[in-house]
Amino acid sequence: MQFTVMQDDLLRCLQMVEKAVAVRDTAPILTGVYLECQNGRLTVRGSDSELTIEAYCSVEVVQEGNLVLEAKFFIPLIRRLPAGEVTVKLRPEQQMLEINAGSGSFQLMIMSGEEYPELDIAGREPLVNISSPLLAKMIRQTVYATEKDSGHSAFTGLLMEGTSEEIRLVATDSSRLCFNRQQLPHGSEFDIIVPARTCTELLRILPSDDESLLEISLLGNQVVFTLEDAVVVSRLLEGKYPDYNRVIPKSGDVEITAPCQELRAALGRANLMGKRGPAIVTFDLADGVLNLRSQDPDLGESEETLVVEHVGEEVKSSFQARFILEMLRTVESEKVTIRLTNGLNPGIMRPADSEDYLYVIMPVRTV
Amino acid sequence: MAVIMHVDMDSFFASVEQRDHPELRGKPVIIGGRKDSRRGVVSTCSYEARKFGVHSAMPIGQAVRLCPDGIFLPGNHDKYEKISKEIRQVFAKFSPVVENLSIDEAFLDMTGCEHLHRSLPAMGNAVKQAIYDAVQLSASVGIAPNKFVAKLASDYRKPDGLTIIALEQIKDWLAPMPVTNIWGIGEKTAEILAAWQIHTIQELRHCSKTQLIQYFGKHGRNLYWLARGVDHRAVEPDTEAKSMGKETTFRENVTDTAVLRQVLAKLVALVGARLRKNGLWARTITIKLRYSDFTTITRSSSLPQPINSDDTIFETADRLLKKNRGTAPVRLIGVYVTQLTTVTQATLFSDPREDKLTKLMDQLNTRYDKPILRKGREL
Repeated sequence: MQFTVMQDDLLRCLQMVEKAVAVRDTAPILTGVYLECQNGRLTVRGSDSELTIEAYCSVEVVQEGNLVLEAKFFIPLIRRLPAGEVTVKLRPEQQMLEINAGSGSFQLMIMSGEEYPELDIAGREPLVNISSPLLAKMIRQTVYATEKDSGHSAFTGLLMEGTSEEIRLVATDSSRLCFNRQQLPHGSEFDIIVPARTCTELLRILPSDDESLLEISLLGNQVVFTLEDAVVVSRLLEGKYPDYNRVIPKSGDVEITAPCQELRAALGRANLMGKRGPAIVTFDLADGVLNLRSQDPDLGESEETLVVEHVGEEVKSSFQARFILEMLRTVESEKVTIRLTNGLNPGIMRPADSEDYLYVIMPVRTV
Repeated sequence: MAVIMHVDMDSFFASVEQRDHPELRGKPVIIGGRKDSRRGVVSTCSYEARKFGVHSAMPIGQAVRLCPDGIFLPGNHDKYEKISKEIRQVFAKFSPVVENLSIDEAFLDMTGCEHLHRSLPAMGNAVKQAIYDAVQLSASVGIAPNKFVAKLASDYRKPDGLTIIALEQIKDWLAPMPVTNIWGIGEKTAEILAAWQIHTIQELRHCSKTQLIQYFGKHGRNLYWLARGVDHRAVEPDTEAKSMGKETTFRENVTDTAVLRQVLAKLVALVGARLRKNGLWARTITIKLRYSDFTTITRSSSLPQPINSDDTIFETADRLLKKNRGTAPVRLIGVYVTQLTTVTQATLFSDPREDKLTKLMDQLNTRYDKPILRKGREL
């Protein structure tokens, strides 16, 4: 194997696949990065038992071939190389790979490319095509509500649901629930649960230009995201997702609309009142004035008021400040609408100008 | 500089019985079970009984052999609890910062309050006198610049003692004491130290901090400072209950796991009801098992969210039982809940019928003052 590649192209590919490379694995080959060059194209692949990412770039191929390199050394090395051409050449007699860049020359031990698991996505069954930045936004507006747990319950993943008209993403950790939908004609019917980790990796590598499209498809019990210069293949989560429609409230006692930035800033301060446990903020609403209070027995207390647009009677309800902040961080509109109900009933938040992003949040019982 | 007082009631349960029954005064009184009790353990004994070698945590059978003429009583916990409350009211008059360690022991942060008294001995005697005036019982008091030394001081002269250790005395006073007097040195640590020929606190001071940390981890750092009489722990007033629990000792040792599970279910129902009655939720569930050879284990599991339902407590406790039970016969089983809180996150997918059922059961069981409704696993 021998090729010449630009340092920034190679590094971009490596950074895309890096997080899929197994840190430690029963199969040591998976702690390596797979390289293959063929037809003027370099394929870089990282994989562990649940996630595989493959990225491509153009190279000048002198001799085709494949091999595996120890990721822990190879990636930091490429990161530190000077910009410009990198020539890579296999020395088969020594089982070493020679890398030349700038004034440096490096010899790396290799592992056999034949032992690395193959990736064949030819038989995949396409579900839907969607714009990359749109999917990225939908993931950003849901993935934070997944359950942070090392387990494999359905709640540790994002529900992706398709109909002929729209695509919906849902996440919940049973304290709150995110619902996000976008119109998408010509889709097919499907519902899959994608691990949160896969979604976070997608967010990292999805291109931000409006033009780019990606394809979501199924391959056995795996999901395949096909981008222009990369492929992400992930195991799906088993298990049944609960009926989320049942927990989205259809009405409330009070509806307020508040400026996002101000509310975020106020809650950021309230969120400091949590030394022993999560900071709890009490929303107390009367006559168009929202009063936010939080306290911690070891620290003290905070209180501030915000003038809001207000429809309905008085209401008082307490929530984990962090839960509300996490939602506000993902809202792109200037204002947010919050519907609250007295008692131990869920609140519901959404951008003031959209019904497509809903956030259901359960209150906290306080005495 | 801090002024910390440790108050320890003298052989509390036994003294209460001697106070209420003059005929018991001057006699060896042992609380924990009747003479024929095969299962009981000594919880307290009078000073007269200690002369025979009886001490707390000793099986009743052994105490009977050491002190055959002793007066063995099962004890009346409700009465002791009531007296303990009266004593706590006395503490409140002397200091706003009181940490109750147990039913008969407390730390009082007297920093700043010492100026209200003529001298430290006068202050110590005032507390002792006030306790006596309230409940006619004697206490031993230790006063020192920190908790560690204050507790050792109250134990220095007993009963009815008062020991005051000033900052400059601490080093010499501690020097000859056995290392086991240090808070946190149990059998295992003592064994390792003995292998190094370290028996007294003075000898422990020869160990470097690095050496102690290397062998005992974080705990090693504490040992280093405690050996020098340095202790910065604050007196922490207990504003709310820190734990709740229930345990039971079997008449006959139990080997059948099914029986253990059933008893566990009963204990869980009692603990759960108490938790809900107090409007509390718990994050950590602990089970305690004492085997026929008296070895005792406790095993805990913490949950991601605080809970208060019998079902969750039982599931967790039962899992702990299954995992840790072993095969030896069990003489005592208990269940505890800790990390208590009044604030909990409500959940989206819970079944409201569950909550209703629990509420109904609690109401009925409270009304009739006994568990008239139970879950099948208790039967």
